Amino acid sequence: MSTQAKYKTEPMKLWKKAKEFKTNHFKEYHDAHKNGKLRFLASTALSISMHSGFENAVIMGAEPFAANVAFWKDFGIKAMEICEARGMSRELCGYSKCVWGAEFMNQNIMPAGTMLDEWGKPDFASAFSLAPCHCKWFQILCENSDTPMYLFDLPKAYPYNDENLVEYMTGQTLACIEEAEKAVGQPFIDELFIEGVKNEIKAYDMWTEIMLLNQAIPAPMDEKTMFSFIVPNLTRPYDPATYEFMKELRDEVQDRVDRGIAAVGNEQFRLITDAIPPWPALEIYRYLEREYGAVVVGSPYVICLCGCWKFENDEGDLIPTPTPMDLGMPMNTREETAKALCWYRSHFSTETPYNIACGEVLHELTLKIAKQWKADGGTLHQNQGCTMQALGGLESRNAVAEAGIPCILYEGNDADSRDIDMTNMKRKFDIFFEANNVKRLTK
Amino acid sequence: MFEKFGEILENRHEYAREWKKRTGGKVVGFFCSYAPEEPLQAAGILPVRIIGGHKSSDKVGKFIAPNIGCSFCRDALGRGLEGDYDYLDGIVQGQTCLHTGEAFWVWEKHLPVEFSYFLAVPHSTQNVGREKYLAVEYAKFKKALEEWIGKEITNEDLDRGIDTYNTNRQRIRQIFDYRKQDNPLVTGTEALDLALSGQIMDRNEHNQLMKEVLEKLPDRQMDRDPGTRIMIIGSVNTDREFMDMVENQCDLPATIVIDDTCTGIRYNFNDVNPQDDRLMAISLRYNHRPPCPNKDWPRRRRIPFIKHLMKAYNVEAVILFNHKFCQPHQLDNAVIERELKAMDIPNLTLEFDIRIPIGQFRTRVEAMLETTMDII
Repeated sequence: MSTQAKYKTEPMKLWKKAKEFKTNHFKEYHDAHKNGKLRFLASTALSISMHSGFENAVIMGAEPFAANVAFWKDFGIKAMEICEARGMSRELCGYSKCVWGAEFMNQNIMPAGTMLDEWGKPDFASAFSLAPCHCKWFQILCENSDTPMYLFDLPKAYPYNDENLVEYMTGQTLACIEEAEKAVGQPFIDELFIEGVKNEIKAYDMWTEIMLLNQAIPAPMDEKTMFSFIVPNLTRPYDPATYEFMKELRDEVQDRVDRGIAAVGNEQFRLITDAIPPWPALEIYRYLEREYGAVVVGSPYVICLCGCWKFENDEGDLIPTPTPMDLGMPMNTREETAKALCWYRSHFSTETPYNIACGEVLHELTLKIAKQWKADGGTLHQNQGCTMQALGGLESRNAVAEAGIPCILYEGNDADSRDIDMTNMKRKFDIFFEANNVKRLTK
Repeated sequence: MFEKFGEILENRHEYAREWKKRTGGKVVGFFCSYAPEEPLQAAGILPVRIIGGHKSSDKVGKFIAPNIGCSFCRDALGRGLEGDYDYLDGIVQGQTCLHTGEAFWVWEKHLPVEFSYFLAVPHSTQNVGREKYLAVEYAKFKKALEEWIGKEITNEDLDRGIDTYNTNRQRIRQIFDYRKQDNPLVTGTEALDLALSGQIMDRNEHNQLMKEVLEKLPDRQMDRDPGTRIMIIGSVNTDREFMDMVENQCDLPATIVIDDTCTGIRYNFNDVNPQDDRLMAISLRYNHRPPCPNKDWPRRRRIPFIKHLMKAYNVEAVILFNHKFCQPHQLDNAVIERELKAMDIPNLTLEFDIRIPIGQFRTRVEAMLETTMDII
C-alpha cells in the first residue's frame, strides 16, 4: 500500500461543472435542429468563434467530437471498422475515422455514454490545415453528407506575426463568413462576432495563466484532469460563460497553489508528455500517479491547446502571447476582428506547434516546457493515430534527453484502442522509472 | 535512344559533383516538386531533387520512427545521412506533406548546409488569396537566395529560368505524347528515366538531350507487344525496377502509358505563363499545376485530371502505388478506387517500402493483367 501522502490533495471543485458543460454542449448540438438552431462542425483550430456571428449557431468542435467517440472504446472500434470496410487504412488519422465512422453509421454517443441514433450532420463545416489531412478529413466528411464547407489554409505557424500569413488567413476568414451566410441562409451579425472573438481571446489568455500556475511544486493539476477543463475553450470559446468558467478555474488553481494542494499527493516525479493522449486508455495516467507518484504537469498539446504562446524575445521562455486588446489592435469591424483573431491564433495555439512549418521549433518548444514546468522526465506519445504529432516525436525526445532530462517514447493511439497494448505500455513505464531510480509506491 | 537519361539517373551523384567542378556553381537539393526551381535556375544554381536509393539505412531510425514515417522520405533522408548528398550546398522544401517536411527539418539540423529554406507553399491551391500569398513568399525566398549568393536575381535572370523550365516541361510533354499511340513509342520505364533525370540534371543539358530524342523519335520502330495499357497513380515514383518488371518481366505484355505522379506528368503538365510580375507568374504555375492529394481540396481536381489522362492515353488498367505510411495518397486512393470501379477499370493497389518484394508484386500485377486480357 502507498505510504502517507507527501502533500495535501483534494478534488477540483470545478470538475463537476466542467463535465456538465460538456454534456450540455453535446446535447445542445444534438438537439439543435429540434430547437430551431443551426449546427456547425468546426475544427477547434481557429474556426469556432468565426461562426459566432450566427445567432442560432451551435458549434461543435470536431476534435472533441472525435475524442468522445474514441473514449467510448466499443463505439470507437465500430467507427474504425466501418471506415476500414470503406477502404480507409488503419494508418489514417484516428480522429478522422472517429467522425467518419459516426457519419457512416449515422450514430453517435454522448459524453455519458448514451447512444444516439443520429450522428449530427452539420449545416456547415469548416476546418484548418494544421496538418494537411485535417482538411482532407472534412473533405471526405462533407462529400459524404453533402454538407457545405469552408476549408482554411494555414501554411505556417512559425515564424509568427507574419504579415503575409495574417493577411492570407484574414481573407479566408471573411470569405468563409460569406460562404456560411449563403449556405445557412441567415445573416451574420458582426456585433455578435466581435463579442465572440473578444470572449475567446480572453478565455484563451486565461488558460495561459492557469497553465503557468501549474509550474508550481506540487503541481495543482494533473494533465488528465486538465482534459476535462479544456472542453469549454474547445467547444464554445465565444461564450461569455466560458470566460467566466476560466476565471473561476484560475482562481481555484491559484488557491491550490497558495495552499500547497497537490493534484497527486505523492508527487515525486514530474513528467511532461507531448501529444493527444490515448483517449481509450486514460487510466495510464492514474497508474503513473498511483504506482510512482508521477504527475504529468503538461505538454505542448494541452498547454497550447486552448491558450496562445510565443517565445520571449524569440529565443527565451515560452510566454503568453499578448492579446490584441492588450496591444490596442482595433476590433470594431468584421475585418478588424478577423485580422485580430488570425493574428492571435497564428501563434502557438491549439495544435499549431505541430504545423509542418514549426518542425524547427517543435522540439525546442517541448524542451522549454520540460524545463519551465520543472519536469524530471518525459514520456512522449508515439501516436499512431496522428502522423502530425508523431512525426516530430523522436526529435522532441532527443532534444529533451540530450538536455539531461530522461525521456522515452511510448506507442499508442489517440483513437484506435486496438493499437493500445496496455501491458507493454505499463512495462515500458515501469522500466523507465526503475532506470531513473523512482521508487515504486505500491507493492 | 533513352539510355543516356537512365545512365545519368543511375550516376546522379557523380553527375552533380562533376557539374559543380565544371561550372563552379552551387547545388541545392529539394524534397518536393512544389519547391520552385525557376528562381534557383535564375540564380545559376543546379536544383537537384533529393530521392532515395532503395537502400536501407540504420541511421534514420534515430530521427524518424520507421512505424510512422513514409518510406520514400526515410529512404531519401537515409541517403543523406549516409553521405550520398555530401555535395549539396543548400536544401529547399516547398511545403507539401508532413513527411517531406520532417525529412527537411532533420536534414537541416543534422546535415548542415550553407543555405536552407522552408518555403511555406499553401496547403490548399484553391483558397482565396493563395496566389498573392505565394508570390510574396517567393519574394522572401528570392531575397534569401540573393543574400546567399551575393548578387541580385534580375528579371532577365528569372526570364531565363522560366524559359528553361517551360522548354523542359514542353519537351517532356511532347515526348510523352508518343505514348498515346496504339503502339507507344516510349515505354513507361523510359518515360520515368526521362522525367526523373530532368529533376536531377542541368535543365539546359536535359533540354538538349530531349531535342535530339525528338528528332529521332517519330521514326522509332518498337519491337514489342504493348499489351495492356497501364496508368500509374501515386506520389513520387523512382522505382525503375518495378517499372521494368511490369513492362518486361511479366508473362503478359503491358506498357505503362501515363502516370499521375510528381515525377511524371503531374510535375510537367503546365508552364509558367510570362507576365510582368515574374514571381506571380511562377506562383500561378505552382498553384494551378495538377495537385498532389495534400493540396487537392476542397474541390477535387485530381480525379477529373486522372480521367482526362485515362481518356487521352487510352488507359485500360491502373496501378495505384502507395509509399508505406504515405497517408495523403491513402486518403485519395480510397476515393479513386471507387471511381475506377464505377468505370469498370481493373486496378491494383500496391504498397511500396524502401525495398519492394518484386516477386510478389509480379504475381499481383500478372493477376491484374489477366483480368484485362480475356484469358480467364
